[in-house]
Amino acid sequence: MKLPPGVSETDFTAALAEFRQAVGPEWVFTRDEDLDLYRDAYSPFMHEPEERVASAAVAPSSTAEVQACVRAANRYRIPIYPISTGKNLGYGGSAPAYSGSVVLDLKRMNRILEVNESQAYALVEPGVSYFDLYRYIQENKLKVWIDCPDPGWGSVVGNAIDRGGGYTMTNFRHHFDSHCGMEVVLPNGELLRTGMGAIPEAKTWQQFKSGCGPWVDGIFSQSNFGVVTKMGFWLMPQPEAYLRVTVSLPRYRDLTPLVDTLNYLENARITSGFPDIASPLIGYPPIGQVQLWNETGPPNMSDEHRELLKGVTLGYSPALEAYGLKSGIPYWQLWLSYYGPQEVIDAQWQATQRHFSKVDGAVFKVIDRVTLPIGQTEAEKYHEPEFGVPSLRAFSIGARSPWNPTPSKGHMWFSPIIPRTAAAIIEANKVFSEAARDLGMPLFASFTLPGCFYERSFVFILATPVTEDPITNKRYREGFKKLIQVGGEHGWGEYRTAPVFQQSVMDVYSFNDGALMRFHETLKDAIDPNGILSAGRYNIWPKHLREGHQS
Amino acid sequence: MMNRRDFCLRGAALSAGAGGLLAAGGWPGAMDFDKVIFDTRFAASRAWAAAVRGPLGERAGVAGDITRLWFEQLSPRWRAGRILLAGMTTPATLFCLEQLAKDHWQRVVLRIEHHESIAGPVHHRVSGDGHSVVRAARHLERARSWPGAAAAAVASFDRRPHDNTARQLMRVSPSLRASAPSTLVSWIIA
Repeated sequence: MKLPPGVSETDFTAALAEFRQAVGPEWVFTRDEDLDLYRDAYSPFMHEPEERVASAAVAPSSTAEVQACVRAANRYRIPIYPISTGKNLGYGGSAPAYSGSVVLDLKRMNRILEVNESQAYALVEPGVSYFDLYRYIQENKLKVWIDCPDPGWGSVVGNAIDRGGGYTMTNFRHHFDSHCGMEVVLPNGELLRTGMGAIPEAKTWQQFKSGCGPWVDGIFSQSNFGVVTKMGFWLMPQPEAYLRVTVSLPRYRDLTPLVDTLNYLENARITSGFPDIASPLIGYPPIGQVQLWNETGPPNMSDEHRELLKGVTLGYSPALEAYGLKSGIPYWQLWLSYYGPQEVIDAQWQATQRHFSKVDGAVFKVIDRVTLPIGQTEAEKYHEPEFGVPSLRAFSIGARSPWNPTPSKGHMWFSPIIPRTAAAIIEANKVFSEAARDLGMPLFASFTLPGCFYERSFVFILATPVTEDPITNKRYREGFKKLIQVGGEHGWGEYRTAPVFQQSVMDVYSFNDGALMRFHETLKDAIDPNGILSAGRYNIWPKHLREGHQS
Repeated sequence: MMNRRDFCLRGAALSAGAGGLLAAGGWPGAMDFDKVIFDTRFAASRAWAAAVRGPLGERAGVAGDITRLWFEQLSPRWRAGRILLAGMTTPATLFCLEQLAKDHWQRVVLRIEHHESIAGPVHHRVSGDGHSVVRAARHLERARSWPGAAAAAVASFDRRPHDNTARQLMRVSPSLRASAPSTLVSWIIA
């Protein structure tokens, strides 16, 4: 029997008996072959003894069962680690942050409690995946859309409390921001509802986010202060039409007006679809086209073009720019999309062109006009998540093809947030490419463009490979931590990270001698005095593990 | 919903009652898969699917992406209980299915990686429990066509509990003259 650290066999046996009593014996897992299912498929410690593994797993099917499990864990001081569906690969998967914890697997809590079409919201349990919610909406012919990540197999609740993002309209893409109301089992087993849900017989739990008094929802995301058992989400009313366009700009210096104009247009909601910055001249694809490039290869490039790319610094050389101007290949290309009534999005596109026409040489092109709704088959012609359709196609990114001859065994996402300016893109490329080169890290090898998932900021989401070679993985882990530190020295921090890097990331958030972490620890000690819940998640350790914790 | 114990017993019963399947054109001890999945883009995978004929299960071709297959066919079946799948696909497709199988506490129980180069032999890496690996390796040793051998190895997988110790064996077969290097994998999810 694997034992959680610091727990006697007697206590663990007694706790397992209580778990079995709570959820039924068939939903408590202790055999190695079952526990293997909870390993992180992309573990940065693949084939190494430091890999974080579970000592057992328990799968409750209701809030009451979660409460019973949490109370049992408290009685025997068993470290438990809740997961929803465990699909956040690249950010830790289903493996516990503190090795030897018991995984509290919530995937059996998969009820869609309500989808309200007229008020455009859903209330779901943590085991509900984006596919589940999409299927429910389709089967019931409801005129609402979900916003889903890519791939869309994960939990709606899990992705939100990990602060993941999607691809539709601005106000739905940040999944935690688009939530409205939570139900949480606290570490002592008590049940809490946030926002308007704190009113017995609440009538607006999913319509008004903040309730009255301190708004505590945020402390239950990327944390270890409670087990979220229900969560409300605002949904997007099904739009009438979709328009996708490109704005192409010819010169390197045009990156500045591109970003500034995009910011104005998005902040003013003149454009609200997923903005996607590409560089045809550098050969950098828009995120929405990466899949296609991987399947069919990148656009053809002449030998001269390829040769010129070898001479660029931070994506620029006068010769490359001259080649682009001569050949009609734009330096930058901004992909924009619009959702709404045709006459509205046409007007928005017109306004967009007017704003960008101030840039000399701007070229405008309509890529797709789509009358909605469309079915799943038609959505496959596009990047499905931009139509609120979940997909698994992203997994061919890891597939071996002539354009990807040596796919990795997994990846760790390096995801720093930087300001939404052209200067920040260039500075981040300079800083990270120099650091990555010195560290031998396969990141920022060429000029890298950020994603626009979240409003008001950019995020780089870069895959650092996990290989089958422990020595290479160790080098990448150390390099990854160093890049986090380098980013912090420049005022940039990760928005999310895998457990192995959570200490390094949280160390960057050190204003006033670590006041934020001290506050987290104060909360932890008050809310979870026995330290049973997700020890070490985002480097929040319970008091008894605070000294000498692993990370 | 069928629980894990019932499922294992079902598998054992299927293996034990293989005589009928043999008469119908399968292999001794042939499994009854809920779905047999192959990748239409690869000749070897198509050949494998052609070899997995008869009553072994409905065949489904994919071109890498399993979204539709999973959403329309596998997921509804999985919601009704555990299912038994076999396939020859890319590793990425298998990875995807493997992660989805975890949602139902199911796993890959036999995995045969086929590494094919343009000129040269095909290297097979067989992983699973000791008993299954030895059986599968024997099929690969005898065969003139490795996709057919892989199909036989999958189809005659013995679900009865044997040696549960994980094991790997390597085998080599003549090439099918691949037009491009590829890695495919034959597998069973149970």
